[in-house]
This record gives sequence, structure tokens and C-alpha cells, in this order.
Amino acid sequence: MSEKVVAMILAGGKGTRLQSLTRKTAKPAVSFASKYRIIDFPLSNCANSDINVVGVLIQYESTELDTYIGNGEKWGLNGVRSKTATLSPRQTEEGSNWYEGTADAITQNIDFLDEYNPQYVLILSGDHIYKTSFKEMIECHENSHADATISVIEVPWEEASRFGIMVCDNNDFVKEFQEKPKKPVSNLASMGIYIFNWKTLRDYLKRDAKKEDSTHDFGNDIIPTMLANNRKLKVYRYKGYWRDVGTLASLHQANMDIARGIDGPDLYDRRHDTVIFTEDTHSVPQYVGPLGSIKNSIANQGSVVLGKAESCVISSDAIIEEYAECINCVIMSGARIKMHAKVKNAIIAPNVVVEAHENINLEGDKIVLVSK
Amino acid sequence: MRKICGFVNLFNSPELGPLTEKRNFGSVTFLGRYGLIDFALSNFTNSGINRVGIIVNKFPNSIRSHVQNGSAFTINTKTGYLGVLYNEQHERKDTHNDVTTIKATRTHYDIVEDSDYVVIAPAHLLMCMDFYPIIREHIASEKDVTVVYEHRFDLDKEFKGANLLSIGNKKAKFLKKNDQKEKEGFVCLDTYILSRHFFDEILEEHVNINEKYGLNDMIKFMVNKSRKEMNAHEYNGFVLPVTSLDNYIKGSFFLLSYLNRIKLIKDGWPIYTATHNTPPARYGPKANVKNSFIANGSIINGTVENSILSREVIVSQGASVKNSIVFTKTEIAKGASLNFVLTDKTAYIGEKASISGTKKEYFIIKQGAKI
Repeated sequence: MSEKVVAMILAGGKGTRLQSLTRKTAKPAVSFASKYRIIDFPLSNCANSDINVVGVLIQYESTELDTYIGNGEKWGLNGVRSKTATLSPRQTEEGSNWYEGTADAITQNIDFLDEYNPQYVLILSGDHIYKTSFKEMIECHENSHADATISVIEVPWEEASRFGIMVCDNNDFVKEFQEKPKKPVSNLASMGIYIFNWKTLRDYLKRDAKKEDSTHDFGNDIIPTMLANNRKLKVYRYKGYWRDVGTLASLHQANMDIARGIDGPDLYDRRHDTVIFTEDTHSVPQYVGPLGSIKNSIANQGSVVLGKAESCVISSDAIIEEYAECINCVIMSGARIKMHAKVKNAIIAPNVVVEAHENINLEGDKIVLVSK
Repeated sequence: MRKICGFVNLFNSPELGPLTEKRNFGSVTFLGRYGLIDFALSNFTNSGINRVGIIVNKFPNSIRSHVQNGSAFTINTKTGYLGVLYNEQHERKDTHNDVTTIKATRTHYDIVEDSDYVVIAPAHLLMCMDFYPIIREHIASEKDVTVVYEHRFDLDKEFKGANLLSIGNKKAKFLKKNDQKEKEGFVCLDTYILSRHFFDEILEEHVNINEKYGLNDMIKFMVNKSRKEMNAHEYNGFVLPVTSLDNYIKGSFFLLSYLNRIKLIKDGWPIYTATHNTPPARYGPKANVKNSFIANGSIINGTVENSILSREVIVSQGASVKNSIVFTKTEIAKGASLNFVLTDKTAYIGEKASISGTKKEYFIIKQGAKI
């Protein structure tokens, strides 16, 4: 059966900048916004965009992520015409290889894509927080008759040198790609979201696989080679909230955006094609105690607030005991903040206990990770 | 390995006033997150019983939409089965009861199949009951029936009309129904383990004995007729009887206290329920919440005290909800206040509206009402 679009989500990276949060967990499986995991966002976006076949490329600490994704039921991607496959590196007749780069991960799964023989392949990252329908981007790609379309977002000029920057002509076709340019001439940053015509990409992947000096990466190798060959590359200007949550600070900030409700994806829009789907725990409803106080925060079922929570994101089965105070904290599932403890500007890892009367980061503005 | 199936019997469920006017008792929201039937269904799941039928007295669609395809409750979605048994043809007849419903519904064959034992449990007595040891005891007793009872000291206030038992030497006999004249006694918890041949006999004999008899009556009749002895199992755990709207409200607030809650909702004994893909609850800058259960999807920017809020309830800035139970998707607009109120689903309480009941008599707002 052939599908118009197959999405491939790159979810194999370790995410070293999240420190011990990813010691035993792949970055896409890290908890987010009290109820979700990061990968719920791209997966829900696919479901909400009527993309029926999704491959998730997994490698680092793949068991937990694989178990979580399962057959895609949580996102409804297990229907009669939909499929979710977790694709980890495998042993084949040719031998066995780890995924060496983002492009290599797709190359090693050409057979999976061939099975669906899609017109387009949508390449996504498993660690972005955003809520969108890809329909508009796909339409933009079709109308432009480009070989590939790259989703870009305008970043502040002073930050442009931290990104892969796309330099475009008047019709938004890419003239030049600059990886972390010292003197940027554009502020359109690549989001690492691409649509390729599958036949074209397939050729480029095969050729790239043979190059010994290639890093087998979309940004470093595939896109520059296509540009050098004068392929038509369109940019799609993404408008709206989008965050790469690769660092503790950015993960914390994206959580805070949702807690304070000023910025961030609107999780409370209940139209059926805008919901972010996730796993539901079998916990009791959340409880706020007689002395509890909770403001500017979000909390999932099973959490218990007996003390004070201000600008917090509280996951299921996390407990803030009486007279404990949490300010600007992301409190992951099963964590316990004991009586009279005070924590500020922190991410508290799952199942961590902050002992009674302990003070953490009360003076610091830098985000700290409290972990075992 | 003996095979066991179970039935949740909704025929003994009480009416909860306006809450059960348009829906089944089993699908009434409880603690903001559950349906009342979840407790009985979870007992089966947690006891490892994988084939379960729900014997529905009325409003079967509200039960069907709550349990959906059963996958939220079944251990193995292929070998397990959760069926809804409902008998349209008898609905308005005086023979509409649990036995005729089981007999009329072919689904019951899928549930009973080749089971050796049948467990029957009610939905209105909320408890954390592991059937497994009771079944073992039943097998050892070599009796046809095991009845589960509780020794209570408040029968003058609770369990009106319930079957009372006389207990001696681990054997039970039926006495009269509870007329609330005595405080102490052994009350039947409407929970039975039946050996398969006895269950089949009940279904077969029903038409000959009295088609108006329900399952409790049939067990009582057949036990008395053949002078059989019933094995008696005393339940020592906590029972929360939801036998009236008053009890429903009282029980809900009783469970707000943590020490009470852990009597019913225990670690390692999860209460399963349908999932609704709701986001976490959000507390705004003006939220002031004390001693309350808040379900996911709610957005709170006002005062909530001693209350239970279901999914997707909105409490706007300056609004106040005290001592109240608020069902799903109700909105309380700016400056409105509720005190001792129970609002059913999707109600809208307009700006500055003020509604109060009393602790003894809650003010009930009907589903979808706009005030």
C-alpha cells in the first residue's frame, strides 16, 4: 500500500546536555509539562496532520522509548490504515551498524520506506516542543515543485550565529546554507524539519552512504550536496511556538512557558485535531491540601500539593509536603519534596527525594538539576 | 487451573436522584475522575479475572460509552473480554431483572464460556476486594455458594433493605431484609462466588420458579429450598456504601481526607478508568485552592475549597467554589460562587451568580443548565 507522506522521527540521540536526566532515558522520552513526554509532540502532530505511517528511529536507551511508543496506540496510529514502527539499528546480511548520523539512520531504513513507497518523506526531530499541522508545509512543498522543503523559523539576529541558517532568494528558495555563521546574512534558522521527495532523497542517501568523508547528516551533508547540485530547496516559514529542548535551561524554560500560560503550545484547545496525546496513568486525582497553595502552575493527576507551589510543573505521584516551597520548579513523577524544604529554579528528576529543611538554589538564577 | 468469570450487577444499584435520571448509576462521576463502576471492575482486574460482564438495568449507552471497548479494564485484550449485558425486550416489564438479562443476552456465553466459577459483585458498595482468596476458600468449602458479608454496627442508618444473614461456623443463612431496627448485624455485600453448575441451575430454573425473582431472590430461594448451606466469607476491609444521593455526597467528601482515602484507594490496587486525553490541570495567578480534588483539564483561577472538580472544569477569576462537587466541563464564570452545590456536567454558572445549598441539603444543578 502506498502512502503520500511517511514521517520519520529522529529519536536516537542521547542528549548529553540534559545531564543525568538522560542517563537511563533517551531525550525524547524525558518527561515534559507534567503529563507528557517530549516525543508526544511530534507524534501527536503527525496524528493531527493525517500522517498515517510513522517510523521512529531509536538507538540510545531504546528499550524505554520503544516500550512507550509501542504500536502507536496512544496517538491513534494503530488503526486499520495507520502504523507506528520503532526502528532501531539491526543486524542484516551486510552486517550490523549503529546509526552514524541522521541521514544514515534513514539510509539504514530505506527498505521500510520502500514498503510504503511514499511520494514524500517528512523528517522530524524527536525532541522539539511545538504544536502544528504539517498539512500546510506539505502543501507549500507540493505547490513549489521543490525537491525538498526545509522548515525555518526567524530567530533574533544576535542569536543567528548559533543556528544552521538558510539564505533565500525572493521566492523563498534556498541560495545558501550556512552552519553557525560568524556573520549571518539571514536570520532564518533551520528547525531540522524537512520534506523530501522520496525518490530524490533515496538517490542522495545511497550516494552519501558511499562517501567516506561524509558525516551522513542531513544538515552537514545531504542539504549542502543537494544545493551544490542545484536542486530546488524551498523554505517553509514556520510561525508559532517552537522550542528545541536540548539543554536543562531550555527544557526548564519550555516547561515554565506552559506553567505560566503566557507562551507555549496551547494544550487546552480541545478541538479534536489539536490535542497532544499521551499516556494516562492510573493515579488518583490530584489533591491540594488544606494548607496547600498552587499558582501559575500545572499539575497532573496523582500529584499532591500540601505545601506551596509557585510557577511549577508537577508530574503524577509527585508530592510537595506541608510547609515545603517550590518556586520555578519542574517536578518530575514520583519526586518528593519533604516538609520545610525550599527549592527554586530547578528540575527535580523522577523519584528524587528532597529532604526536610533542605534549601536548593534559593539564590541562584541558573537552572539546576536535582537528581539521585 | 480453574477458570473464573465475573459479573458486575447493576440491578441492585440505588437511584441517585437527578444524577441517575439520564444515566446509569455505574457511569456517575466519582471523585472527579472515576465512574462508580470502576471500583467493581478494578476489583476483577486486580484479582486476575479477565472475562467480565456488566449486567445493566437501564441506560446501557452511558455504561458502554464509559467502558468503551473494555481495553482500559481488561488484562489481556484478546483473551480477556468485557461485555455489556442488557435486555431491551424486558425493559418495561416486571420481569426486567438481572437473571432475565443474563439469560436474554447471548454475550453471557462469551463471558461464562467454560468457567468453573462465577463471581457476582455489586457496583454500589465501593471496596477493595481481592476475589482470589475467597475463590480458594469457596473451592475448599465444597459448597455451591459463597456469600461475602460484613459485620456492621450502623445498620440502623445504613444498608436499608439489604439482605441480612445469620452466620454460624462459617456458614450463612438468609434472614429478613434490613428494616433498620437493629444496629448490629451481618449484612450481605451482594457479592457471591457461585459454582458453575449452580449458576446454570439458577438460569434454568428461573422460568419455573418466578421470573420476577432477581439473582439475590433466586439464590435465597434455591438455597432455602434445597436446604443447602452457603459458605460465608467475612470481609474485613473498608466498604463505602453509595446507597443514596446523600451517601454519594457524604462518601465523596469523606474521601477528601488522605487517611480516609487510603482505606479505599490502595497502593498496588489501582482503580482503572477510561482515559480522556485531557491536559494537566492549570492553576492561574489568582488560584486559591485548598483541600480539594482537581481532575485534569481543569483551569482554575479562582477560589476552590473543600471541593471535588471533575475534568475540564473552568473556575474563572474571582469565582468561588466551596464544599461543592462539580462535574465535567462545567464553567463557573467570573465572580460566581457555589457553596454546598452539586453541579452535573456541562453546566454554566454565569457571572456573579451565587448559589448555595446547605450541608444537609445540597443544591443540585442539572446537566447542561445555564444559570
